[in-house]
This record gives sequence, C-alpha cells and structure tokens, in this order.
Amino acid sequence: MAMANILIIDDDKMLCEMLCREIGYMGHHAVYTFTLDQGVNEVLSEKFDVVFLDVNLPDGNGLDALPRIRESEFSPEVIIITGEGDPDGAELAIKSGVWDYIEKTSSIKQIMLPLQRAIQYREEKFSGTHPVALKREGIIGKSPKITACLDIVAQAASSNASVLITGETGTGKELFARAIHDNSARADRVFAVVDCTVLPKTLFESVLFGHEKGAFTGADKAREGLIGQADGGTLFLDEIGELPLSIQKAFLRVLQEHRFRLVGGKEERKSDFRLLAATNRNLDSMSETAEFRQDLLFRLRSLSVELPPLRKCREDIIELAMYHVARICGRLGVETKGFSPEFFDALASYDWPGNIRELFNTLEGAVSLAGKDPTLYSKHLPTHIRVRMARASVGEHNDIERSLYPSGDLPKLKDFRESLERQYLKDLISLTRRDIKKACRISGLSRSHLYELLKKYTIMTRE
Amino acid sequence: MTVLFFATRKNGDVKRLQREVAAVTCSEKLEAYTTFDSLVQRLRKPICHSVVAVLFITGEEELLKILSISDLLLTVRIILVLQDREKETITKGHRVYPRFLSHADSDFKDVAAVLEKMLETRHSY
Repeated sequence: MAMANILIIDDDKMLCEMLCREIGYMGHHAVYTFTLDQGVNEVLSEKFDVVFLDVNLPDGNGLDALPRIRESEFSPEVIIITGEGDPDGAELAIKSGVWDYIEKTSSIKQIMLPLQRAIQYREEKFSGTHPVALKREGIIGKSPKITACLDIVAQAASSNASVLITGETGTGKELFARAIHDNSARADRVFAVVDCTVLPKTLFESVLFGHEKGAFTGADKAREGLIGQADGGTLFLDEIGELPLSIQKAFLRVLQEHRFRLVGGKEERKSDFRLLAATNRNLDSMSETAEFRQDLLFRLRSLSVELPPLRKCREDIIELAMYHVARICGRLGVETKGFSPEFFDALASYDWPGNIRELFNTLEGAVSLAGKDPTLYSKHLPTHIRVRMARASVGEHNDIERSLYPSGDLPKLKDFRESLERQYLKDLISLTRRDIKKACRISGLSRSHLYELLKKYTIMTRE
Repeated sequence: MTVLFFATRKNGDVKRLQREVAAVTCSEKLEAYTTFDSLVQRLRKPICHSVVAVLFITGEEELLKILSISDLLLTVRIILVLQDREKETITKGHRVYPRFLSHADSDFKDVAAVLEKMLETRHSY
C-alpha cells in the first residue's frame, strides 16, 4: 500500500497528535492545523488523500468548508470528526459527499477503520481500474457538486450495480445515465429507454416483457420487449416513480433473477441487462405510503447519484451558457454570439426552477430573439428573468445597508466607528485564539494600545 | 407543442401511422416532412417549444442518416418506428434514444397512446 497523505483540521491538539501517531503506525503521513482557513489553504496547496475535519472550529463550521475542499484538484475524501454529533449534521455531511461522519468519543479503531477504507478506495480509484478520461457527452460543469456526481459516474461505470439517479426535473438525469452506460463495459450494446411518464398503464407489461402471439386482443404476432432487447446492455427506467405497482412486483423478480416471461408465455427467458433508473420523486416517501415497493427501492439503489439543482451550482451557469449558445448557433448555421456581462449577471441571479432544461430553452429563445445581433444582452432574455435581476440588485444593496445599519437609520459617525472597531477586535481575538503577540502583529497595534482598546470594549482576553 | 412527422415513403403503413398521429394531434401543430433534407432544414430552425418527432424509418441507410444528425435531435422527444425487427436494426434504433420504439407491422394504437400521453405531460419549461 502506498503512503497516503492525511490532513487533520481540528483545534484539539491532543487528538491531532494522537491521530498523527496512529496514522504513522499505519505507514502513512499526517499533518494537522487548528483552524479552518489554514486547513483549507493546506488542502488547496498540497496533495492530500484524506482530510479529518472537525465541525466546530474557532474560525467557522467545518461543514461549510466542504465546497472549498472539493475545489482541490486532488479531491480528498473527507471524514467528519465531531465532539457534538447530531443526526441532522450527519445527514447533511453524507449528502455533501463526505466519506464518513464519526464522533470523537468513538474508539481509536472506529476512527481508523473508515480511514483505512478511504485510503483503499483511493488506491483502487487511481490504480487505473476506472476510465482515465470519463466520456461526459453534454455534461457541462466543474462545480464541486457536479464533480462529485461524476466521481460516482466513474465508480458506477466500472461496476454492474443498479444505480438510482435522483434530481429535480431538468437536471440532466438521462445524460448521467448515458454517461454511466457509455463509460461501462456495455458501451457498445443497447441502451434501452423506458420512459415511464409516457407509457399508458395498459402498455407497460408488453413494452417491458414483450408478448406471445394471441396474449391479448391485437397481439397478432409475438413481440420482444425492452428487457429482452437490453440483453448484454443497459435498461434505463426514466421516472421510475411512475411505474405502476402491479408492474413493480413483476419487475422486482426480473431484477433479482434476470429471468422473465413474455406476456402470455410459458417459457422463461434470460436477459443480462444492467439497470439504471431515474426519478424526480421521493421514493422513500412513496414507499412509506405504499406507492412504491420498498424491496424494489433497495434493489434499485445499490449506488445512487443525487443531481444538484442548477441554483446550487451557479458557478457552472456561464460555462453551460457558452456551450449551449455555441451549439444552438451551430445548429442554426449562424456565427456564435458574444455575451454582455449583464446577460451573465441576469442568468446568475435567476433561480432556474426548471434547471438546465429551462436554461437551454431560455438560451434558444435569446438566440432567436437576437437574430443577427452578434452579442446577447439581457434585453434578449424573458421579462421574468430580467425582473428577477433588477430585484436582486436592489435587494443586495439593501442587505449591505441593513448589516451596516441594523436600526435602519444612519448612526452618528462616532457610534458607527466604535461598533466597527468593537467587531474588528472581537474577530481579531477569536482568529488569534487570544494570542496577544499574534494579534499585535496582525493588527499593527502596540501591546498597550491593544490592551487599552480591549478594556474599552470589555473584550476578554482570557476565558 | 410541435409534432414533426417524418416518412420518406407513402405506403399503406405510413398512411395508417399518419392517420393515428393526426387523430391525437388535431389541436396541435403537426408538420410533415417527406425528405431527409427538409427534416434537417426544419431542425435547424429555432425550437422554442417542446418538440416530438415521429420518425418512420424505412431502411438501414435512413436510420444511419438519422443517427448522423443526433446533435440536431438532442432536445427532441422521439417516437421511432422501424421497418423490421432484426436485432441489428433494433440495436441501432436504440442509439437514437427513442422515448418509444415501434414497428411498421404494428397497428400503431401503441404509438397513438404514447403520443397522446406525451402531449398531456409536456414539459412546462
């Protein structure tokens, strides 16, 4: 096993030293920092395989730093280690893509085991068992959330496990399903789509399983269904939440045994298909109300990918817009268009309830409206998006005013200056963890002047 | 929503299919294309609403032509009708990523039912 590089971000010196020692015994290298800022800087400047991250740090909440840690080109695995574990925090952490969430009160073995697994995972991940360059046809974006989803795509592509892809409407679930198929060993075989939203109840069974001649009125010939056609390839059930309960039971059996019968048939047939499914519905809630079979749900999500809504990865909007405007212009046979900064501002300030699909349709409309204009301006966007931008810009201004002047009125300059000075000193003492020498160096104040100000504002230097 | 109907032949199967499609899209915009080039020209025009394409494919060459313009069909929901049931034809047909796949020997009641549901469940964005 190669030596892994571990970073511990925790303000508990004893714990840091103990972890470093244990990690050293495992044959790996570890360093530690006591603050979040320092830790994130380390992650962004050095290659780490795993980061142990505390939640309550002197300069902030560790969970809030996860997106910045994800920006590291080495994308280390993160293990949350906290003194005050709570179920909501654990859920949030796991949903944010952390490797594990453990309490400091756990035994050293319980802390080291997830580390060992994470190191093993990274060794396998970088040993060449996954495709070197993931084919990501049409999947645009480098945001930490999209990158995390692509990591799961790579993992899914190298296995045969069923994958459940969830996400709001328009987030690109089918594109991710195709990416899993295109990067898998089944890439040159069939990718059969079952669109559960457009199949009438009466058609589901024969479309999925196929039917024998005479199985029902109008079945004048035997037909192969999509399960049979997907043999050796991938079966993609889009919007599986719409699958009728009666079909769910029959499909579960097929999924378990990879054997099925044509409707009206007696002989069992085999199909070696790999299942991918997608939904914008909450299948857990549906299974609680018996609208979706829990046993099927468990089978479906051996692996799961939760696609983020576009409003949660706004940093991808510009790249998405540039890619799709170039594509639209290419399709229409016109020169690709430039963008005014206000056009991007407007796209960034809107919430995109219809996600990427809504963005594409909006861009299509803007290009169409622009006609021969070489540049897209915000005036080419629909009114509701421009209104949103106008409101956001006014709101931002007001927010700044509100934080500066909480009472809403302009205070006296002396009071205003003192409130800022008090806040500055509080931050300084917190950041330096009451280290007066360090506080003097950062603030440029003499020791006596600093003490004088701390006394004036009754800020304690000792607990 | 716009429904594009593509068929390069005008045989009995195509007429039956066109009748079924027209019956469920009477209040919608139905556009018929009888040559590959005219379909391409249409797809190169702005698409500001949801589009469904019903493509009646008469042979391998035509299927390959459709595959060659998959970039133009990215945002179009496709109902594909294939001439034969050969394994190779079906495999190639799935590369078009149809939302529904049918065959020329069908009574096309299935196509009509699926198209009707598509028109009901059009995307709001």
